[in-house]
Amino acid sequence: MPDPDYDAWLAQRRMLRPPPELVARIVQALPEAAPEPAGRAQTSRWGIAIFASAAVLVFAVRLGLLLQIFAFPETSHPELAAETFPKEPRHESRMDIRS
Amino acid sequence: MSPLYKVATASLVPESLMRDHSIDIHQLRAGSREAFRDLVDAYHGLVYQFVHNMVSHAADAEDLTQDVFLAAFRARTTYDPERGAISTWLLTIARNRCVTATRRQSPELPGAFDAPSRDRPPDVQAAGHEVWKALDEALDRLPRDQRAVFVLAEIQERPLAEIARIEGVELGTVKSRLSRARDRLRQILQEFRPSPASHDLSPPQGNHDARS
Repeated sequence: MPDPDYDAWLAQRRMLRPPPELVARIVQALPEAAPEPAGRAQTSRWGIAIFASAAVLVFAVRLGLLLQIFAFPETSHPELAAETFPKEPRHESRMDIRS
Repeated sequence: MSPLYKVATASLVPESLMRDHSIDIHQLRAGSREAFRDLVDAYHGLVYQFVHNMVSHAADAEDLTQDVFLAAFRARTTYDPERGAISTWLLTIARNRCVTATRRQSPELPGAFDAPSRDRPPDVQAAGHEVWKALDEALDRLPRDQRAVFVLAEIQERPLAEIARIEGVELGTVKSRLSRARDRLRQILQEFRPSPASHDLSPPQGNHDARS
């Protein structure tokens, strides 16, 4: 069996109505809110551009380092080059022959 | 038909008739202010009623209602009519805004955003409805998720399936939250009426179950 007080309480909760000026207030606030998506989108586009540039730069630097290692191993990493490309054994000097 | 009449009937008519607000969705998505004004005209009552029942005070409800519509305008391109009614979309935004606002206001006390409602007409306040005050307090003290479900189901009489979409939960979760909220209010009524026969809050036959 429904409770009459409860039903009356629900009914008065359902009667809550907005003030008449609320629509005008919301619509007036719109011009301030409208530019935000454009601003956000602009910021977002700049963020993507900066991130992409940084990624390309890092990739180019790493590619350059790799090229340097493999193309000019002796100048870039002598110790690595010594292990990877050992020099020919040097000829014995005269001193060594004498001894 | 005046906008107020349209809004007043909005929660009492089937979903198919609620679309009869002549809102041009295409224009709305394109950012037309005329279409947005139509949207506000048609649904500000529905949103305000939900928000006011969530936060109690009229001033907070007005601010939040404005926030909801401005957020809706910013997110207008995300609305997809195929995925649900525009009222569901707006109530989802409203629900999220209310939860964020109540969390910011009182992180330790879920549901206790405000004191009980004091925005009733003076004649109602003068009538001294102690039971209503107690029910107001009980509603304010409900956890946020239970309160949202209770407001949508009991006060706004939205279908349970739509509430599940708004809350982003399963239908069973909605039913259990609603049941717990009703239990809480039933306890309040029991304090005023010792007789157990007079405070049955279960809905009439075929009410919510039929709507789900």
